Amino acid sequence: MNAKTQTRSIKMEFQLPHAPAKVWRALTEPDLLAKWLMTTNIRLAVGHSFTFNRSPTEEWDGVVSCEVKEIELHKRLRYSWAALGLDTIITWTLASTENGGTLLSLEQSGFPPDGGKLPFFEGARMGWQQMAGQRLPEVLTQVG
Amino acid sequence: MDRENAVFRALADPSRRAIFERLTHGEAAVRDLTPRFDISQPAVSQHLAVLKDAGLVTERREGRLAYYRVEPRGLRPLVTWITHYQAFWVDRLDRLQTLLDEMDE
Repeated sequence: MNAKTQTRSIKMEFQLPHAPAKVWRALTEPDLLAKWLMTTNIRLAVGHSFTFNRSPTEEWDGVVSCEVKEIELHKRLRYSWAALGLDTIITWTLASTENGGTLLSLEQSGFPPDGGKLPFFEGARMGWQQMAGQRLPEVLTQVG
Repeated sequence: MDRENAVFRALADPSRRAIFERLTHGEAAVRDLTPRFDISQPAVSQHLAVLKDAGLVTERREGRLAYYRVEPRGLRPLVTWITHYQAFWVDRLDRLQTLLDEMDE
């Protein structure tokens, strides 16, 4: 992998006491998605373009533009996620656990390390990490 | 996006970050900052000007001296960009778990 194609990602894992089929419904049915994520017109078809919508704020129109990239029933769902000038990919992975539950993984990848639309992302991120744990958290509580 | 870029550009520089971090401890004049950072007074002034243009610090004049302090609201673009998604998903996955508990099997 060269520096140009290298990107950053967020990875999270959640142990859920619910079966993958049920978790899958919550990840893919618009009515259920509206209850925990955002209102959406997602349809399970590769290549389908859809949006997630939330109330606009001063900094953001509240629209996430997406396209379904991969569907593997009850196992894997991948779609693009473009908002705030950032184009990323969301990958949900569901794995059954011994007790009948689900290990749910979320990866959001494609955050640019530098260059592109956010040329100073990395430098600022490093700065953020360095400042975190010092006075910054306190200052941030005043941001409102 | 210009606002974001200005903030990111301002904080991408280690010296400016150090100056900004120092200012989070309280207001200071250029002459208070210079001895701490091993750079010339004009260089410190220039860094402060960039931080000010990015909306990260504000300036207060008192006679011939200018005092600088952190403008917390200037960090808003950084908050939305950097911590946005991590915080967002933690919050949403919390809601997902609540929803799953309420759903029929």
